[in-house]
Parts: sequence; C-alpha cells; structure tokens
Amino acid sequence: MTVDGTLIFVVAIVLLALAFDYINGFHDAANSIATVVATRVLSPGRAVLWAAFFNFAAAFGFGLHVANTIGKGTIDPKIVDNHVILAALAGAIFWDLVTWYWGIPSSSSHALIGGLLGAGIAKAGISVVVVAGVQRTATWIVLSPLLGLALGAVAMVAVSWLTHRLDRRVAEPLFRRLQLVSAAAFSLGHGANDAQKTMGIIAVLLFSAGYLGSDFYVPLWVVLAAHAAIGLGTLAGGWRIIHTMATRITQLAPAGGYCAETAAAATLFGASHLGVPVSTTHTITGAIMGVGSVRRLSAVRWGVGARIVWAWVLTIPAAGVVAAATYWLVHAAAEGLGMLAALLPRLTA
Amino acid sequence: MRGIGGPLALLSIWALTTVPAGFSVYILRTIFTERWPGSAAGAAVESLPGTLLIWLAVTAAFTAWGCAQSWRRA
Repeated sequence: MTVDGTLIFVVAIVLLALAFDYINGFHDAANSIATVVATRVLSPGRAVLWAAFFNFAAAFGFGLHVANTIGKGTIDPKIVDNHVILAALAGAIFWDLVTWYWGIPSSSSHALIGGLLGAGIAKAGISVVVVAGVQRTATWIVLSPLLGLALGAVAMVAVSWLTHRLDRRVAEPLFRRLQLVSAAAFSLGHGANDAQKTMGIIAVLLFSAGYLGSDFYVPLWVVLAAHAAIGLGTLAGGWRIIHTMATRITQLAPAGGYCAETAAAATLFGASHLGVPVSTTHTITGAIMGVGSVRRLSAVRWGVGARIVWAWVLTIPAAGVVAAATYWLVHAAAEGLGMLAALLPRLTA
Repeated sequence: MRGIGGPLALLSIWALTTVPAGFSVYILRTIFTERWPGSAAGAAVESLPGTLLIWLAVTAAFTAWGCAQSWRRA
C-alpha cells in the first residue's frame, strides 16, 4: 500500500473510532441523566444538553491515564496495526448496537477491551495480552459496581440521617438543585473516563502507523475530537436505556438520585485518577441499587440487575469473537488484494 | 434562618454540600496540576490552606444556592 493509501486508511479508522465514541455517548451517557430525568429535576431535552456540556468540559480537566492504559496496557502496542484497530472497533460497535437495540445497559468500555483482546489474539496469539493491565481492568469490572453499590448505600444512609430534621418543603428544592451538581460531576467523570478510551485507541493507531514518532502520547486534537464526539452522542440521547436505568431498577426520589449520582461520580473520579477504564453503566447501576436497597431490599428489581449482569459477562467474549472474525476477514481480504495486485501486471503482460 | 428550620437544619444542609464541593476542589486541583504544572496559581490551589479555602467557599455557595428557594418563600 502506498503512503497516501496508508494515510487514507488511518483517517478512515480514526473516523470510525470517533463514531464509536459518538455511539458510546449515545449508549452510555443515558446513565448520566437517567436519575435526573427519573426524578423530574430536568426535562429529557435539558438533561442531555447538561450532560453533553459536562462530557465536553472534561477535556480540560482530567489527565490521560486511562488513555495510556487502553493504548499500552491491554495488548502489546507493537503488534497493533490498522487491521487490529479496525477489527477491535467493529467488535465493540457491533456489541454496543446489539445491546442498545435490546435496551440492555451493557458496557461500551468492556466491549472495546474485548474487541482489542479478540483482534490482538487473532493476529499474534495469547502472548500479546498485557496480563497486568487486563488483570487490573478485570478486577475493576467487579469492583466498580460493588463500589458504586456500597457508596450509594452509605450516601443514602448519611443523607437520611442528615435530613430527618428538614422540612419536606426545604429538602425537596435543595435536592433538586444538588442533583444538578451531582449529575454534572457524573457527566464529567463519564467524559473523563470514556472519551479517554477512544483517545487511547486513536493514539495507539497513530503510534503504530508512525505518526507520533518514537514516544507514545495523546495529541491535543485527539483529546478535543474524542470529547466532542462523546458530547454529540450524548445530545442524540439513548432513551431505551434511560427507561431501564431510570424506572425499571428502582423508583428514585431526588435525594436518592443525588446519592446515586454522587456515589457513581466518586467511583469514576477515583478510577480515572488511577488510570483504570471502568464502565459508567456498571457504576451507576450499582449505585442506584445501593440507594434502593437502603429503603428496603425488595425495592430493587434484582431481576433486571441479573439481566444486566449477564450482559456484563457476555460483553468481552462477544465483542472479542466479532473482532477476531473481523480481523481474519480484513486480513484475508488485504492478502487477496495484494496477491491480485501482484498477479495483475503478469496477466496483462 | 427560620425559613429553613433553624441552625441545625442549616448545618445539615451544609454537610450535604461537602461532597459535591469536594468534587469541585478535586477538579480544580486536577486542572491546575495537569494544565499549568508549577505555576504560582497552581501552587496556591494545591496547598492545604488554598484547598481548604476553596472547599469552604464552594460549600458556602452550594448551601446558599440550595436554600435560596426556601429563603425566598419565607
């Protein structure tokens, strides 16, 4: 392939990565606003604007630890090429769209990690897996919903204890306003953690194609483009998942919404600080369940939770299998085209 | 004060705002350490007195904002 051809291919994959980020916003950002919509603090239209703004604003505040983990801590960046990234994105986008269609709040982050693992293993075998990085991510797959659940429950107990003296006419408007702050914090955490996953993918692609020189780093234009894409995705909304998150897991009052958002935001900030890619969906679902379980355990619809857990278990293998199949297809097609290009001059001579 | 239920109620409201205010302080600190490392403003924000001052100011602002509707009604 000529240099121009490589550049065009890289640009196409960067656009695909940004499309994934857009779908991530569309799919996951519902989490940021589900509780605000459920408690009627904001109308759905205003809520998506609020979340999209803070998704984008996260570009100016947080580090790039998560992007580095995705870029260097999942599979060996030396074996990454255009085909691997294309296949990883195809696997992640496929699984995101399937779960979006069925209204299942699965994780875009884990779909992306599954895609990378599947495509990397298809290319060069199991040895390309960065075991320490994947172990850390896998630990947080379990930890993030549990942490969200525990913090949500603790926050709800603390808030109930603090507000038992407050008049309902004082507490209600107070929590409606505080929920705006907690939703903004969660959207910032979502933007910080999720947009960085796309940044990591684009940066490792540019690095493998030789556009970054000898050092791996994330260029500023990549940071801004990733945050813009996720913000625009949020604006488009994901109403099927909002419905599941907002009403089907448990019914929320403004105080509960505030506790769930605050607990989830704290978990996301901690994970972003440590450079761990976590699922915003897992985190907020755990937090909503934690808040609901304080009222009474039967207030949580655990059956919906179980369905979500199945989606979590399936996400990495499903995205990985689709990514591996895509890699073999793309690789075979590229080899076929190469052979055809070599044969063509001989046939025409 | 009576509009919100007395000093203990105000203390409860203030306590409720401490965590969101903590987020604001964390975000401010991160912005300064990531974007302007080593600057004088960054050092002021990162110092313990600076952090506490910002945190207190933000909790006060959130408390006033959260109570504004009840005060207006009273």
